Amino acid sequence: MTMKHFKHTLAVAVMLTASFATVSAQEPEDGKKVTLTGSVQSDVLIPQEDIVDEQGNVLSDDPVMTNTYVELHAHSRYVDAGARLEFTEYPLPGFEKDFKGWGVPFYYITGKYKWAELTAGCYYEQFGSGLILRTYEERSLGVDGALRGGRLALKPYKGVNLKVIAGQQRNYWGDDKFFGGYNESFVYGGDLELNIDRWSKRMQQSGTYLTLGLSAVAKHEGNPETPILSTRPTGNLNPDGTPETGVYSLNVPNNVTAFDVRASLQKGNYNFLAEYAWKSQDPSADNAYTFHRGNALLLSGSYSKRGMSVLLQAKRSQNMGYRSARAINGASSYLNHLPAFSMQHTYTLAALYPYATQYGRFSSNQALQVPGEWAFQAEVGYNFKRKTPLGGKYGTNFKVNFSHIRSIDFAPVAQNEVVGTDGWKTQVFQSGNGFGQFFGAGGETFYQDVNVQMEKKITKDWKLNLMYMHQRYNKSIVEGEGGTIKSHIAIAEAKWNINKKLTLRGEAQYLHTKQDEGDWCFGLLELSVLPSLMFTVSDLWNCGETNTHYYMAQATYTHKAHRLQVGYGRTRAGYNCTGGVCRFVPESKGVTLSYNFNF
Amino acid sequence: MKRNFLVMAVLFLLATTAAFAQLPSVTLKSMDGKEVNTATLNNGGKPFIISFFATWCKPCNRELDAINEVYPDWQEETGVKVIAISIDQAQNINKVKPLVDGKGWEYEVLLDPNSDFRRAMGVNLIPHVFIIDGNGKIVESRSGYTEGGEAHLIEKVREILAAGGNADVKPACKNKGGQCQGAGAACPGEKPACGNGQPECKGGQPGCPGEKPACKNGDRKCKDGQSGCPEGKPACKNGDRKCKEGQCKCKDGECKCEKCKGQCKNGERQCKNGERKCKEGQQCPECPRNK
Repeated sequence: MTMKHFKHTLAVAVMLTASFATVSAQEPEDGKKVTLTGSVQSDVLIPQEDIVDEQGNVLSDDPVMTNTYVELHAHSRYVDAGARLEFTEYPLPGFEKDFKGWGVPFYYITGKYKWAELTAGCYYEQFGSGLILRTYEERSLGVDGALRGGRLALKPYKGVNLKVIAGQQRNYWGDDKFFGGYNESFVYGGDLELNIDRWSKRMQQSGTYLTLGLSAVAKHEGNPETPILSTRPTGNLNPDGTPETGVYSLNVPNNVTAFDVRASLQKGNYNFLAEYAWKSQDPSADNAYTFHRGNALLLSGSYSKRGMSVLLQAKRSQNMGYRSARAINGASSYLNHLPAFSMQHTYTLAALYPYATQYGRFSSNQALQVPGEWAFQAEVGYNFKRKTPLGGKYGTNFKVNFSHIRSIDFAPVAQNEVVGTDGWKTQVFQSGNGFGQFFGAGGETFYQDVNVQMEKKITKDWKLNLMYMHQRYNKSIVEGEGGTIKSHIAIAEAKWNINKKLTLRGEAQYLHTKQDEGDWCFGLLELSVLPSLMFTVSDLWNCGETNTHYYMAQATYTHKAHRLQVGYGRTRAGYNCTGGVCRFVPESKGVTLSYNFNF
Repeated sequence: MKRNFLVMAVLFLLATTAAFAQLPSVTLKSMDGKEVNTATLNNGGKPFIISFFATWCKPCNRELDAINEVYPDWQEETGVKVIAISIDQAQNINKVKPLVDGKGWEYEVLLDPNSDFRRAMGVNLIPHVFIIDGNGKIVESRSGYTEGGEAHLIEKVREILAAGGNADVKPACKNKGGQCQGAGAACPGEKPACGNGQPECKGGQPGCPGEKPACKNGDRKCKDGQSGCPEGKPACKNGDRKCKEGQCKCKDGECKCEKCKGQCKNGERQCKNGERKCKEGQQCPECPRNK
């Protein structure tokens, strides 16, 4: 280890030991109360061999890798302040290159008085469903979209919420900046939300809640450092009669604005939401510098009462990737967020091929061009009560979920002429064929998933969960190549309360497919020993073709607000729900250590 | 470089003097669309539990299912309340109510779609539970769920209640300055101490055994307008507890008597002079007084 390595690991060690120091419950004087809260989160991997990618290129050869976060907040009656220390100088595998760094990138001070709140510093904000603005932090993905500037939140009258923001968005560390790197562009925004039910006694008495919202976001970015060039006819003729072509520099708009309107109605057991967002011309690296405007429509309706629920949702989005820097590819600098419109699976094999929303992408391969997507989701849940024939002694819970995501109707465009143009020609409904073509027969399916889950308590000590899923995953569209993968997945999970102190939980999963790497099998056993221990062993293996085993053994110890998990094994990238917690884990092999403390 | 280390050192020195905190103030919405400010969360002076979950988090669902099975017993014994906070993103928020209704959970559920409350509470991994005592102070914080771990939660709640609802104050013996062994135990030879540590009730403290609960102003009797007097109906300013029969308002017109059904002073539905009729159940605003 070099001297720099040593200094850094010493710093981490000091941090962690300091945080073990006494947390004394001092009681400040009433009225002058300043309380401190915070948390420590540290994930460490000691890999057995260098981390390599699929081609064999070495991604990292650090002997110890860690993502460590320490947060501290001070609260008092009128003022809050806080900061976060991030140590990701030797980050865990799977994060982007610019993620590496360490410092204090997040800090703020907030003043609160009656119905106003003013923040100076860094903050996260979301307008509506996040179609035009959602800045958030997700450590397991290395995403931190914090805005640094100012934020004002007002509630001047009952039922009226007003927010105004201004700032620059975080983009990893910039050039060796201890206080975080922030994009040069400026983001401004405002959101007005009206809770109509607060003004109407009749609505309140009938249990109706109506909320209307309107928001706007604008991004101001200077001209690109290197001009974006496009070759096109000048309108003149060459000496030999052919059309003359010239190289033009694109006139890129400095301001990109986006608007969002929404209405949400809740009455008794019914719940409806309609939201529409649109974005002005936003040529960027994502859409090959085309000038098509973006839009997104979200509709959702549900009915739920005790024992039964129905949910229907539809979403159409087109060219709605809204970033704070136009030339960026990759995961950072998104101002908005459209999560995948399919069910979020946490069983390992069900989450083996997870879908990611296609914001919009150009490609020289016309089969991979994606202007946007249509997404539908339906879910029905039913609870058979206890002592009925289907319910059994304790009752049975059923849930069926269907999600379908496909391309919107569009005409592909040839590559060499797309820069500076309007991009694709798109339509909401295919012309001439009316409602029958609503589902876009010409479009391509990106993802489809039908799953049925049953949950049943068999005896006082035994509980059983069963799930069957049929999945269609378009690997070409989501990952770039690989065709469509159709798979059948069957999962059984059982839990046995052995006695007052011991519980044993087991999972057996099987995925059958003829594509990609073939069949997968998964088994897991988890033993909980009250009050604070848990042991888990699991193995994910490719029983179809390669016979590779991804095994894992973990032990977890919890004491009050501390939680320590130690494990050894080989992980494939994906969601891991063991040790009592769910997290996204990238591929690795070696000893893992995870520590959490909250105060 | 040196400055950076200094910054870190200061942060950690502060961390070592941390005190367990009150709840931060974040505006969340309930499943119905009502706005709730987290700083005002309470359970009427009794301890309550906050649990962070998401529809896709299986250990969270297992924990809330396990609590659901014993929740009626918990409530009957201790009056504890569970508030479940969903951190599902905005586009998945419509899945929360179907899940809660489908599983028959009786908790108060709040929605935190941009994780504002989760960040303010310093929660990194879910499931995460906090136990809050009767004074709104966070007493315990635990992340992760071990099967059967909910038993620890109710034990902690019982401990808090035995200590008089306030996890910090141990009853002291009046004469010695020494401490009673164990929360709530009486010092030998003395009457059991009240929550404030004194054997006598000071204003507003929970009832000392054998004594009537004190009123807010420190007296056992209700003074005018004082709330919470156990026997007192809201007092009228004139010093009587009841409205004089037949009066819609108290004599000097200062407060409303609830039992007044709008009868006129003479008890009849019609006013004596026959000029104004009182309909049953209505207030007679200007019923002539002693005609």
